Amino acid sequence: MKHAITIHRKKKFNVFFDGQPSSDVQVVDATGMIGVCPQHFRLIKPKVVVKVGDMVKQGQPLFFDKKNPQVYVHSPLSGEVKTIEYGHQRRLEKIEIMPDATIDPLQFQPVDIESLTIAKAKSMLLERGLWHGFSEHPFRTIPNPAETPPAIVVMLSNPEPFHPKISAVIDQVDHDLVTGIQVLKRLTEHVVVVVDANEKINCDEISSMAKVVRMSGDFSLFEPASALYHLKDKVEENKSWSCDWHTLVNIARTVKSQQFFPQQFISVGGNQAKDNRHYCVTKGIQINQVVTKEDPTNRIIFGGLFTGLHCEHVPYLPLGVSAINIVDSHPQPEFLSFLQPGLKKPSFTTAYLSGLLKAVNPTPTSTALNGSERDCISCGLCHDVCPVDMLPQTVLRNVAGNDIEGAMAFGLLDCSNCSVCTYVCPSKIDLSARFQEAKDALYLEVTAP
Amino acid sequence: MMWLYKKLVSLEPLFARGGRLERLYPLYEAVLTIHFSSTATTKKGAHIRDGLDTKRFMILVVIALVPSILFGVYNAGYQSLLSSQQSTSLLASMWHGALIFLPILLTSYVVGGLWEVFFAIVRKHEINEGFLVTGLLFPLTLPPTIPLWQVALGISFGIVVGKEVFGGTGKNFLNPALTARAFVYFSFPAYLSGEVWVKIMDGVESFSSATPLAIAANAPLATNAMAAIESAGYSLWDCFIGLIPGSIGETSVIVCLMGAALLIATGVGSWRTMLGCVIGLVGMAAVFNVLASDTTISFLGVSPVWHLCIGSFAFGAVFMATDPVSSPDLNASKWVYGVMIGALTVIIRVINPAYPEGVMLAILLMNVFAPLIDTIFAQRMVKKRLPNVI
Ligand code: SF4
Ligand code: SF4
Repeated sequence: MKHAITIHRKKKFNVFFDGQPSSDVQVVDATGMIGVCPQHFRLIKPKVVVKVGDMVKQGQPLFFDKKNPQVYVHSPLSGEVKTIEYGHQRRLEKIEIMPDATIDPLQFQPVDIESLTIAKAKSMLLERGLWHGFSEHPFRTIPNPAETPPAIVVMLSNPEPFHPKISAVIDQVDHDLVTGIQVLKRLTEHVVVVVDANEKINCDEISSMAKVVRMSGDFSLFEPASALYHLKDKVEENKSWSCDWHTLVNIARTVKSQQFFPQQFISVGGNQAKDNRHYCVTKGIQINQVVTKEDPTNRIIFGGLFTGLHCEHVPYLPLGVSAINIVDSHPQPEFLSFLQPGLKKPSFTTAYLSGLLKAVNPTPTSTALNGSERDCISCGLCHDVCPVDMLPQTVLRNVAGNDIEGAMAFGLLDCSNCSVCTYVCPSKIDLSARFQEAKDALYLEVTAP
Repeated sequence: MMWLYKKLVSLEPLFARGGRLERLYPLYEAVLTIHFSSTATTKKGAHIRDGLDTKRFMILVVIALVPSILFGVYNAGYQSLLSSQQSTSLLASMWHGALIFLPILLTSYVVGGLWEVFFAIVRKHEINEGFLVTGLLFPLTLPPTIPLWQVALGISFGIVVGKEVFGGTGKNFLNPALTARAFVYFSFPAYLSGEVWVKIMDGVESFSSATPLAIAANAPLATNAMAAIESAGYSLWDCFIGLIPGSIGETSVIVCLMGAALLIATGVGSWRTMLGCVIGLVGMAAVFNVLASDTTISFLGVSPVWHLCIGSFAFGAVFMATDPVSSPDLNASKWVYGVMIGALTVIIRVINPAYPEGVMLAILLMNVFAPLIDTIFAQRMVKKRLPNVI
C-alpha cells in the first residue's frame, strides 16, 4: 500500500445535487413487522435455515450463503418468522419477522480482542453474523473465510449523494471505530482507513493503530474499489477486502454487549424526501416508518443516487443499505427541449447553460433518462470523469466484442461501478451496468466448479 | 402543445410491436422525440442522468453552423448577382442565395433522410440525429454550381458507404459528410476543380471564376503566389471575411471562428483538435516557406497566414475534424490528429496542385489513422496501470 497520507485529485465531476440530509440524528425503532431482504448481495445464493412459524432470537441465523456456507445472516430482533418469500428464479426476496420483546436475545461469549488469533477472530465474526459486512475485490463478493486478506480498506466516508456522514454521528461511534479497527487488525496487519478530507472528524486515535488516508476529489473516489485503485502498489492487493464504518460499528457493539446490534445509522435524502436527516433505525425496519412517499410517482432509492439498488417494491430497509433517497420520477414531455438554453436542466457539461452554474446551483435530480439510447459517439466524457482512469468507451467495445482479456488490460476489474460514466454519457449507455454484468459473468466463470 | 403530444402518443400502438405499422417504428420514434423530450426513466444503473443527449449534441453543431449558412447563402447570391452585373443589395443577395442553396440543402436532407430511414427500418434501430449534421455539412462544402443529381449521389455515397456499411453513426470511422464530398470531388472533377464556382443566372453570359486556392496552385514557377491571388482581386482580408467565390459555406474564416467559439464553449467540439490543426498548418507552411526559392513551385512560398485564410481549412478544422465519432478518443491523440491534419493540408495543397483542397483529404486520411493513434496512446496508459487480471 502506498504511504501517502493525503491524496488530492482534481475535482472533475464538480456537480452537486439538491436534497442533502441535515446532520441531526433521530432514533426510530421498528413498531411492526421487520424484514430481512438480501437484494444488496448480488452474487450470493441464500439457503434459509428457519421455517415460517419458528420463533427466532435476536442474533440467531436465518440463512446462509450456499457459495460460502460459513457465512450466515442473523435476525436483528427476536420474534416469529411470519413469511419467507422467493422471487425470480427462486431467489430469496424477504424474510418477515414479527418482533417479540419477551424473547431474550442470543448471548455470545465475551471476547478479549488482544488475545484473538486470526482463526479466533474469524470465527468470532462468523458466529455473530458480521462477516457479510466485508467485501472482497475485485468482484465485491463476500470473502471466503478460509482466506486472509492482503489488506483491508475501511471507508469512513461515502460522499455519494446522499449517504450518512460519519461526522453527524461521530460522538456516538468514535469508540466503536477504534474497537472495530482493533478487531480488523487481528485479521491483517494492513488496515487502511480512508476518510474524506472535508470530513470534520479527529482521526488521531485511529492513526495510532492503522494508516489513515485523507482523500479529496470527486465522490466517486470513495467507492471502495476506486480508493483501492489509488492505494494499491502490489498486484496481490487487487484482492484486498473492504468494509465501511457501519461494519466497524456492528463489530464493536456486538463485542461490547455480547449481543447482536439490532440498529443501524441511515440517512434520508433526495429532493422529494420530506425529513432529510440522519436516523438511527432498527435493521430491516419498514421504510414507511421513516419516509413517506407523498407523490406516488416519486422513486425510492435504496442507496445513493448513482449506485442505489433498483428494488422499489421492497417495503423494508434491505440488508447492507444505509441510505434512502427519494427523487422525482415523472418526467414531463417538453416541446423542442433540445433547443432550450437549459437553465433548469441537469448538466455536467456546458451544453446547457446550467452547466456554467453547476458549482453554485444545485443540480435538479429526477430519474428521467433525458434522451434516448444511441451508439457511442466517442465524446470522451466518460473517460474524463472516471475515478480509476479507465477508458470506459474502449472497455465497452471490448466487453461487447467478448474480449474480456482486453477489457481487463484496460482496467475492467478496477472499475468501481461508481456509475458516474453512466450519468454523463450523452448516448445514455449504461456503461457501469455493462461492466458489472461482465464482471459477474467472469466471476461465475472463474468460480464454476 | 400538449394536444400534439397526446395525438402522437395515441398513435404509438400503431407503430409498437405487433402494430400495423410496426416496421415504421424508427420513423415514429424520430418524429416523436424530435418534438418532445423523452419521458423514459432509468431502469438500471445510475438512477439519475445528465441532461445532455445526442440530440442536443448534434443540434449544437447545427446552431454553430448557422453563421456559416447565413453567410454562405448571402455570398452565393452576392457572387452570382455580381457576375451577372445586377444589384447586390443584402435582400437581393439573400433571396438569390437562398434560391441557390435551398434546393441543394433539400436534396441533401431528403435523399440522405430516405437512406437513413431505410437503414433504420431494415436494421430496426432508431434514426440517428447525427444525420442532421451530415446532411447540412455536405451542402456547405459544395460549389453553388453543383447539379442537384450530384448532390443526391454524393449524399447517398456518404451515408451508405461512409456510415451505414459500418453499422451507422458511432460505428463509422470516416466522416460521412467528407466522404460524400470526396466522392463528388473525384467523380465529377469538372465541377469542383476550383474553376467554376459562381452560379450564373439564366440568360446571362457564362462566367467562370477561379478560387484563390486554384490561383495559388497554378501560379507559375518563381512568381509570388500571394501576389498572384491579390492581383486576381482577392486580398487577404477578402479571404478572411469570405466575400469571394468558393464553396457555399467555406469561404469565410470569420464565421467559422464564430462557430468554433460556440463548439468550444459548449464542449461539443474539441479545442485540442482545432488548435492542433492550426499548429500543424502554420508549422508546415513555415517549413515550406524556408525551403522556398526561385526554383521551387511558388505555392511553397505561401505564408502561414494565407494558408489559414484560403480554401476550406477553417471550415474543415472547426466542423469536420472535430466530429467526435471519426476523430480519436484520447486527448493526447487529438493533438497528434489535429497537427497531422494541419501539416497534411499544406503538404497536399503544395505538393499536389491537382487537388488544391488539401484539408478534405487530410481529414479523411487522419480519420483512417485515428484508431491507430488511439491504440498507441491507450497502450501507454495500460502500461501505467498496475495489472488487475484473473
Ligand atoms: S468505468 Fe464508470 S463505473 Fe467504472 S469506475 Fe470508471 S466511471 Fe466508475
Ligand atoms: S460518454 Fe458515452 S458516448 Fe461518450 S465516449 Fe463514453 S460511452 Fe461513448
